[in-house]
Amino acid sequence: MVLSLFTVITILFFLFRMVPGGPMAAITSPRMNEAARQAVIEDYGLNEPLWKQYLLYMWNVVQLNFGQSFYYGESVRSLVADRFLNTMSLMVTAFLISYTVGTYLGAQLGWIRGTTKERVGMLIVLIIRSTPVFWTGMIVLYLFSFQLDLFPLGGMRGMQATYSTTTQKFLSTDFLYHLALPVFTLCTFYVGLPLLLMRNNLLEVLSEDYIDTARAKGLTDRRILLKHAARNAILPVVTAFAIAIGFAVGGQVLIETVYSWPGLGREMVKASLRSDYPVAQGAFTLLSVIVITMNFVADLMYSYLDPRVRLEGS
Amino acid sequence: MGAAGAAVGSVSVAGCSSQNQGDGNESSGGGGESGGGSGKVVEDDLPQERMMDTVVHMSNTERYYAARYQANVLVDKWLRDEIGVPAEVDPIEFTVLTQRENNGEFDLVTYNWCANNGEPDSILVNRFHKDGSANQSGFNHERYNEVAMQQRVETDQETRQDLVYEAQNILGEQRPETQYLYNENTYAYNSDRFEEDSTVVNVSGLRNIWNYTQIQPKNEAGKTIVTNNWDPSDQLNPLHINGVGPSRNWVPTSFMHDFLVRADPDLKATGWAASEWNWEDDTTVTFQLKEGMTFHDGEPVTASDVKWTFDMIMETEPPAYLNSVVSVVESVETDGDLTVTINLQEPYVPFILITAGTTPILPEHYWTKLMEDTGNTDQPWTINIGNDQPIIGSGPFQWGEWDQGSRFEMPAFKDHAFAAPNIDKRIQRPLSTRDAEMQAMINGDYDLLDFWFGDPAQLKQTTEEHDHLTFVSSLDDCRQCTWLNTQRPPFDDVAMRQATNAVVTAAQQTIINELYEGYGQKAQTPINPSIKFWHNPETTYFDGVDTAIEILSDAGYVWDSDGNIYYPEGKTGK
Repeated sequence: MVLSLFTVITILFFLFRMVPGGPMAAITSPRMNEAARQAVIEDYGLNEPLWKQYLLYMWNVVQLNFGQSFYYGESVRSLVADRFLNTMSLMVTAFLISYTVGTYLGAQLGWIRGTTKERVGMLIVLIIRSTPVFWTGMIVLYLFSFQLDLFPLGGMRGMQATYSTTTQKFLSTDFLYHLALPVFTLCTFYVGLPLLLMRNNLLEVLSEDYIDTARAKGLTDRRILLKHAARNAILPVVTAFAIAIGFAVGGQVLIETVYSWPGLGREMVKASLRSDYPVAQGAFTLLSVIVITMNFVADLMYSYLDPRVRLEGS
Repeated sequence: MGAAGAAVGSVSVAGCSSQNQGDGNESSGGGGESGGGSGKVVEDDLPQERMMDTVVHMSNTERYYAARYQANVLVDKWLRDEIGVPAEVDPIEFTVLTQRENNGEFDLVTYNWCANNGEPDSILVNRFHKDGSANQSGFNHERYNEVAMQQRVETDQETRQDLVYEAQNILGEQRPETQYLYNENTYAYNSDRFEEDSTVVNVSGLRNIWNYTQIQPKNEAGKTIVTNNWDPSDQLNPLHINGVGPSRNWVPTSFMHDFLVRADPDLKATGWAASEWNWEDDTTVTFQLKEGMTFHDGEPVTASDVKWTFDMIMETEPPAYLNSVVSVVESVETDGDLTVTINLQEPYVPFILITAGTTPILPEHYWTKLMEDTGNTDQPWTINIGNDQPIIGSGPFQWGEWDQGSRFEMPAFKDHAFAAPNIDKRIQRPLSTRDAEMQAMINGDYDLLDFWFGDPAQLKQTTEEHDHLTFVSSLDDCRQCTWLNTQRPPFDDVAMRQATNAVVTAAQQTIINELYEGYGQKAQTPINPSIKFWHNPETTYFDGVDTAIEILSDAGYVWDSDGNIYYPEGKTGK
């Protein structure tokens, strides 16, 4: 894991610097004289040779210091931490709801396979799944905010709302009220994957001998579905969920834009466009850490849920 | 070559005009008329090496700024179709654009450039003086270099105006820059909540301190102004380069601090914290502070705070103030609590607006403590300003609550000695789409728009459909223009630059009407008419496709039967 991270951070460092353009365009004004421009370059350490910048950066990263944003002049750690919290509050809520609902509906659809109900259900799911999420977002926003005036136009909190603590900020009804539409939009999109996964796996599982055995025992449908079929069919969904949470860090740039959500996804795109290396590197490093960790967690959970996958010797 | 030289400085060419722009003077060529054009010298069997290579027109991408990109496409089409110059738009990301511009890897480059606080100095010196920091066109003209430097030391306003006028005329004739238009920006506010005659509109629309201190609420809802922001504020340390450069930070910074001088709504220097100032000699200016001023924590604003601010800046040398303070000011003296004398290193007239107008008066007692507490005595611009270490200034607005990335709240400073706002609070709260911003105006979440980057016509229509909204438009202090690389062919030849200007002038009205929906004015000089005192309305310019062809023909350029242009004899594009 450490080796993968080291590689990722190194690649990131050089990748951003290989892209044409430089951070100075976003920072300095053409009105500045040469001395001032030079002073800024030195202030950000951009005058040092690349290998020196790299060594210094790696040394700082080891100490969990990701430097200062060129564009904001603020510490990358606090900036990324702040946007990370915003993004996770949105994405994790959306994933939890989508995966719970998706798994349940997938199991139900799998159970009633072959019926008209199932065909209609599948059609709806496929349509939703193929709809671009920003489009759904715009339609939902137009309908519920612009036309019906039931929900806010965007952002994480009311225009005039004030909070004294972070906990208060994320637990207030005002926040939940702002969270509702973007989460709803994301759910319509993300519910498709667990649903289809669950249904397909269930179909496979249902043809297994032990299901026939269960039926022969005279168990109720509900018991067979939940206790025998669903538990086995859920494994790939769990992996998908863990990986999805990993990528959630990157946020949903389009949804963050449509709903003016100050999240990490939008920040990463902006940082890349502005050549704000420290922010871009910091954010992508965090993304890599979480993706790698979540993949690891998925493996662990697998062994817990599926008795056949156990480490040798245990 | 001789022919090219003959066109230099010539103002007798037909179509060359020095009339006031916007006087309805129609182009003599006209758009989209016969590509062959009259007066072109067409020859057969022209040598291949004299044929003009592709002219690289560096541009922002369409996504970055659609109208500007499309204007470039249009101009290049006119250059190709009308005078056979093979110009092609090369759209690139802005970070790359700056880099390539610095390296001189362009023939044409287009973006916009604004004045600094109403001062013509940076426009004239930085961009066009041979040693100017942003003279990427490599423009070098002997008389111009002299005039540009003279105007910055001339303390007599009228004489300085003559010099600034002359500089514009040289630029008009030499054409290292060709303007597309002066932009008019559009805004809106909720007239149910504010007295209409209390709003003040300047080059930044409603986003100016005069408006925010003078606007009169009609009712309770009007006492808090919620406005948008094109990007959330992110750096509010007034010594940091990002705190004073981009308007997302400069607006709150300039509202929370006082300055000796401010540019009034007409961009003329006027006393703010200083009741008056006097030039004792070329390099000495004395300011008299107004009485009764206090910082937000109740401490009095004194001459020693002003001195401390300047001394601290000169000692620590923040990059943001190298231009305006460190390389300009020699020393600062005080005489009592209200008199400050500033000695300059050398005569520099823009000092009043550029230095005294943009250097905030910082409270010595608060900043010395802040610098000591954070251990940042030598780099105070790196101090992290936030809710735990807020700004204490003396400006008409105070630090309220900052939710980084989404919201900044500023309560009015009701004890301000001479500019206490009539409203109670100002809140910046950006929304990331134009539709949401418009809707927020309609449903009353927003009270006014500090910025509007959406469709101006759509904004106008919306304000007409809703009685509580009032539409405002104002000329900014910038110009959208193209700079020509005078260091390499084809634009090392003044005739080619003049011809380009003539073609662009002919295309201007189409650009304004079709791409900017009528929100703009024809432009002939780098100094925008909103900077009224310095704008030379009689700057030389060239107009019309026929004029362009005439200038080029006189300079020896010829065309083949397909309309492609060829260099004069003895010259190639290498």
